[in-house]
Amino acid sequence: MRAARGLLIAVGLGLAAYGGFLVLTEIDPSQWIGIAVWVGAAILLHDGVVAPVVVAVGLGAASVRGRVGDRGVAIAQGALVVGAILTAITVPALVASTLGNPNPTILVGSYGIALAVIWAVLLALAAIALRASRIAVVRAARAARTK
Amino acid sequence: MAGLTERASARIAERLEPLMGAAHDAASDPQVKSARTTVVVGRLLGAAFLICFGTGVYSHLLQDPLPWLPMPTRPVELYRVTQGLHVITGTAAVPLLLAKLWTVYPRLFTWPPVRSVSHLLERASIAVLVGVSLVEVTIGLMNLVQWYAFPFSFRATHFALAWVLIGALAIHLGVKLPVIAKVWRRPTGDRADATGRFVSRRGFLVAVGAAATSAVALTAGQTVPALAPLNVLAPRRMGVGPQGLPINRTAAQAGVTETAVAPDWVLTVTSPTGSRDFTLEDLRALPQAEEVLPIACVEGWSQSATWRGVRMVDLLAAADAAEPTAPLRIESLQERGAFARTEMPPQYARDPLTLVALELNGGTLDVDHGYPARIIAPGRPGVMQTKWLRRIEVTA
Repeated sequence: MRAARGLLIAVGLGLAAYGGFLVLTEIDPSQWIGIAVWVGAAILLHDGVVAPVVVAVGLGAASVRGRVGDRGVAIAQGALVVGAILTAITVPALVASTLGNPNPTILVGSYGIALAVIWAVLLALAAIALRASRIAVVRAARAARTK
Repeated sequence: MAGLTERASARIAERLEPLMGAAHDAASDPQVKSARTTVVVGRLLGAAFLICFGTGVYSHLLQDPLPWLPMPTRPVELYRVTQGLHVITGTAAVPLLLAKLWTVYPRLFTWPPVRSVSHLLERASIAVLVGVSLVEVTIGLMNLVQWYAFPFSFRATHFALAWVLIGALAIHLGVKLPVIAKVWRRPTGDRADATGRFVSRRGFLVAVGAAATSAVALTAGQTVPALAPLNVLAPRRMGVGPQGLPINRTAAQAGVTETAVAPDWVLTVTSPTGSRDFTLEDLRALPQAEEVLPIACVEGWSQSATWRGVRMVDLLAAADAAEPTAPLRIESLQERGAFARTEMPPQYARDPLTLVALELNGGTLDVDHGYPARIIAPGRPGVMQTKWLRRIEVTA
């Protein structure tokens, strides 16, 4: 274990150092600040915006789990995750489409329409799951009362 | 003065500690955001990063060959597979990376933030790993749509940061190895179907899996023919382009709309023994060969096509050049751009499948596909398949 850890850390330091060497030798010094800003901004954007929003959504989901039922909330959360990821990977195509490209064979899709359809399907799925789950919770509560 | 700073930092710490504690408690879920979940997701993410790194290095080696390392020319679809995999895996890494960060997010609010020098170094290495990972997938996705909104060059930065990422990943694995080994060696007591605070573990893993699967399913059709009908989110679409094939750079973008159709165009082939100019008629008069070879772009799209033209070996023989033993220098009519001049290692130049193509899919090459003549060789990136040929130089 000790040897494996030492080896991994040593190899990692070597690889990262080579990456740093490439940054210093292959990239113009005028671009270094931009790279540092992007790496720093990525951390801030994730830790300060994306992750807190996800925590807030999670707390919201946790607060309704009892009333709506675990299953429905889990499916709705899953739909939200899928929609958010598909949106995230399509943002570049959406933005680049508005900027235009002289090459007519790139950005050939209708990304806004595609995302709208995807969200409509996911939201419908979430709504059905939430409703079914809520009905089951209400029925279970009623059954428990009449027993 | 020192006392003042000390008092100030003590007061800041006093205020910050409960805030950090509250943030930690809000985000934490010991049952689902457990070491085991982190290892399960981290394993997949690590594999994805290794695939991206390996295929990325391979792509760079094809573009900047090492003289002592011959690259393979077979199978002809090899680069199509490696680069397709690079982009598909990078796309799948987006949900995996965010999921991995979700499981460890509460640790951001550890108190005290720094316990020792080694703890500081560990946190710094994690900051590098997280920041560089996020930037790599982001600029990778932006490059697919040619959206260059970042203040640095894509190719050099994506390559250099990949080494930093893989290095930081190895360090991270070294640091965390005891935790990983513990999860692997014995049951940790946290159940696979833990209910969790926000979502059950099973629900979380299914959601991440569904996100990764759908992201791949809806984009991979730009390179995997079987998935082409599902391709609604990728920048390219199979069959969309002149002669049913996408292009990376148009003749107008390359600034060759006039020179490519000039009536006095010739292809000059030079070698240590002499030089010969070939008109388009001369090239058409040479023995013609037809091959099915893919165009595989660094941006992750690819498509197979039928090319017809003169085999490189036949062209060099017609120019009385000896079989090349050193890279060919190939020039395009294109004046600017990193790939206006490229080198073709001798194993590709001698390959019978390598063509100076004059026709594509049964018709004369469209000007956007490189009219009057272009290179098409097996297993090479699209940027090296030089279009609008002007000159081929046999150096040895």
